[in-house]
Amino acid sequence: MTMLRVAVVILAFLSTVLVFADFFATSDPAAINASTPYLPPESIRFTSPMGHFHLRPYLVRRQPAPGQFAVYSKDFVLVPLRFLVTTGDMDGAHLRFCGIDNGSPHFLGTDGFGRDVWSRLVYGGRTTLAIGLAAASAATLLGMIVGLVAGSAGGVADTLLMRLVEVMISIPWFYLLLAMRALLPLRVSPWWAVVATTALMACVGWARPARILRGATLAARQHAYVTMARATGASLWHIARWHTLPDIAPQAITQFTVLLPQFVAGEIALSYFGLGVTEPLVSWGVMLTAARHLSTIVEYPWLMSPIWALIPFFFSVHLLADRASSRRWLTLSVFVRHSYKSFLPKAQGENPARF
Amino acid sequence: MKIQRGFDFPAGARTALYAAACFVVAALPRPAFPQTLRVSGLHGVPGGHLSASLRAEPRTLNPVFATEIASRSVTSILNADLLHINRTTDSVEPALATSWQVSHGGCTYLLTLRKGVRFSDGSPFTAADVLFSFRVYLDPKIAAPQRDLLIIDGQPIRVTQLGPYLVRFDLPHPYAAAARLFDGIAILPRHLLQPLMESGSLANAWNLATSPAQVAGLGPFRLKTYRPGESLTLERNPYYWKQDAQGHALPYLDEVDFSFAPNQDAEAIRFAAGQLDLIARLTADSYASLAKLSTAVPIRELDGGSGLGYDILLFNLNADVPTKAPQAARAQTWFLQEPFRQALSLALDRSAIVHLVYQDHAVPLATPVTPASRTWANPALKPVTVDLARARALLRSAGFSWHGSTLVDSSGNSVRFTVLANSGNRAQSGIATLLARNFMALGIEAQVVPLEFRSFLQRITQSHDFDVAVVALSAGDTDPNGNISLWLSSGNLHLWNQNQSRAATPWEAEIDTLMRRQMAITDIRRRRALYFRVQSVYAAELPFLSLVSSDMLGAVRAGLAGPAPSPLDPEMLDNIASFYLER
Repeated sequence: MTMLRVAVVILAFLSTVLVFADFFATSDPAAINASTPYLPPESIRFTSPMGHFHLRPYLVRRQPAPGQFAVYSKDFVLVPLRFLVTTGDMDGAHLRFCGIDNGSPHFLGTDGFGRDVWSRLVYGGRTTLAIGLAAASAATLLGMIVGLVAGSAGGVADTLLMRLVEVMISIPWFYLLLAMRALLPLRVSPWWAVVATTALMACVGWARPARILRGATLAARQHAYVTMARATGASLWHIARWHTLPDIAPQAITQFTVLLPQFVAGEIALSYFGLGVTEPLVSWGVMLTAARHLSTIVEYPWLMSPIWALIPFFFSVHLLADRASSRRWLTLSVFVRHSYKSFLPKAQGENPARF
Repeated sequence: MKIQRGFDFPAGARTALYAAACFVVAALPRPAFPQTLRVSGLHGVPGGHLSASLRAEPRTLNPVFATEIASRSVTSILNADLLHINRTTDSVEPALATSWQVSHGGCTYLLTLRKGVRFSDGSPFTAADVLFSFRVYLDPKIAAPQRDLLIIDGQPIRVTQLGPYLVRFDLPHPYAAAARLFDGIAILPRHLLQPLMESGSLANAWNLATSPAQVAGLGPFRLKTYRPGESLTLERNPYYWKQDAQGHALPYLDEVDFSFAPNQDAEAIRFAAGQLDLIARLTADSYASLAKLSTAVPIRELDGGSGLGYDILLFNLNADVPTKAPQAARAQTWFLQEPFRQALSLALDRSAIVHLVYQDHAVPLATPVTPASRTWANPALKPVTVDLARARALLRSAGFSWHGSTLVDSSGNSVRFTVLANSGNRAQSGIATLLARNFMALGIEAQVVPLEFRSFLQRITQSHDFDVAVVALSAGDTDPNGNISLWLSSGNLHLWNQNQSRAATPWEAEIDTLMRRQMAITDIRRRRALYFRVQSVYAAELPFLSLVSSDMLGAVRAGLAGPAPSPLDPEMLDNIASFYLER
């Protein structure tokens, strides 16, 4: 349980930072600063320039060495950090949780264009996770509908839908995604590219949940209360809505938690190939394109920071997925089912809750 | 094709020609070294082994069919040319020909061949080999890539043998820099290749499966072994025709080993681990990280200065856009306005590209003529620096205005376009990102679209469905003619408006005339004046924006003397005969 709590805390923290990206970032993620490329992460100290302990943190700022590329002096100056500051750049004025008087702090250093890695991480995470969440939700929903229809209706509809699912599963989804993305027009705004990426991932990702949820639907139909409901003349829709759906909900949640990290990784891979999110928008995939080059990994490891954000994220989501299929969730689903039943419309005659 | 052999002449004419030839030879300054070429100032140490690498396995060892870099690097070492461009001074120097004479107003070149030279299999080299080689290169059925160079205004160069060591080349028109044409044209061994040519199997000759004994050339090294997928080993050519200042036969090295590395990173790791002695064609970031990677072995980094490669921002001015790619038509109406192009040029920060993308290993450009072209660049044209006020004034004069911070054209459309870049090239993607940000300062929304190289090229050269693109180009030579296919409106690198049957604009027509005129005169001063004018016309019209030219970067293991990056192929291996290991 402790681990689950850790996971929930991590996810809550990540979501807070990413939802309020404008506040937690320290600068415009696309602002280029030609004088400070590849600046290593700047640390903070609680000692004033005089050497005394101070409650106000100071930023350790090094100046670029003149005439050399991405080389910074050993000497540094301590710049007082200010909290709740308003900054203005090409993307407008924002209230930031902290900043410095001239310029902005670079807690995670800068990239090759002098752009702040921390701000890019925060804004990029928002894009990446938004795509992942939206695509996973859409794919799960689509899968659920197909699974429910196929499982409930049976017959020709079931056969047709499941053959389609097999076709979808047999195609390597990543190549399908690459091919479909390449077909999209060139002239789409970056935001449309995000929407398109999301829609595409949902389009190729629904098949597996559909198959699993169809199986779950078939299993759910075997329950005595379903037989009873059919015997009392309940319609297919009624059974699906009031008996099967609550029963397969845990599996749907598990499928969602399995798809979410897959789609986050999908966005990263697509952007890495230049097909997902494009500049000037930022995502973790866009940031990780830097990992294509050995020199970056060797010399500027702080550019790999999205990986350090991805590890706790994947860990937490997988832990949740694990729990979703465990007993506790099943008990929850039984509880949900029973509470649903108690609200069943009386129009059906007998109160099914009695069964 | 027209090549005449000596025995085509009637006997009397032949004798007369021989007599004339002898007279010409006698009149020529006597070569100081009748058989070997002595390289002055070279004092190396014989012996040793060099490990280098190729980024791909060569497809062929046949210089007639070698088109990609790997094959050409190897064939350039296995073979030699009649005249050679000195990579340091950029002037033409004797190689297999000891001297040459130009007559008939630049239409006739008389080349005297080096005597006593032998191919790497020991057979003698004579004018017959030269004649045979040019017959192969000019054969339309063989369609060698060198053929285009040897066809001037649609007419091939005529080659005539005047004696065992005397060859005459007749050009249809005077051609400036004709002597430079001989550089890189490998002389083939007639005794090995003629039977194959006659049987029509020349295309399959000298592939990688050919036994080393069947491959011979006049270069400093000859083929020793080939291990498929692994490496290619060359050994010293004992019959090579150059000596150092002390009279030691060149090359110094006993063996050269080329291993195949899949990419630059793999190459850099091998180099850092001491498995390679030399690495060329490095990108700026690999170059910067080499010193940190190579902790085990001391290395020497080589920055050869600006090369012939340059990056441009290409506008889609193609005339077929409204019919072929209507979605690109609106943006094209802006690009067709010269003040708009000038304004974009004033908004872009070339020094930021130099600093951030090339880590200061590049120079900003005013025209596509890079500093490697030395005296050919018009000194009056300086790279523009950012001037947003002037850019805005230009835009305003062209009818543009601002809605808030967004630039709108005279019909009220907000100005936004896509910047195409090759996703496989980190530098170009980086440039595109920087440009998009630069244009934002003018209120233009530019979106970077990285595309895989093949679809990138397809859009630029065929479908013309793009707005602007960051393109990397390279001139073939330091001479103005190296950029001819870019300048001429009929040229295949005239990318901004392709496939013109006749020049579409008066200024393109002027460039055509100027380029054709400079091509046909030999007086270097007049050529220079004409070429300066070409560059001025370009700068006034800006059909594309010249951005920067990156440096030629490489590195060698400390203790290896000789390698120097050069703008012409094969970048660092040109003087491989003079490489030696310091003792």
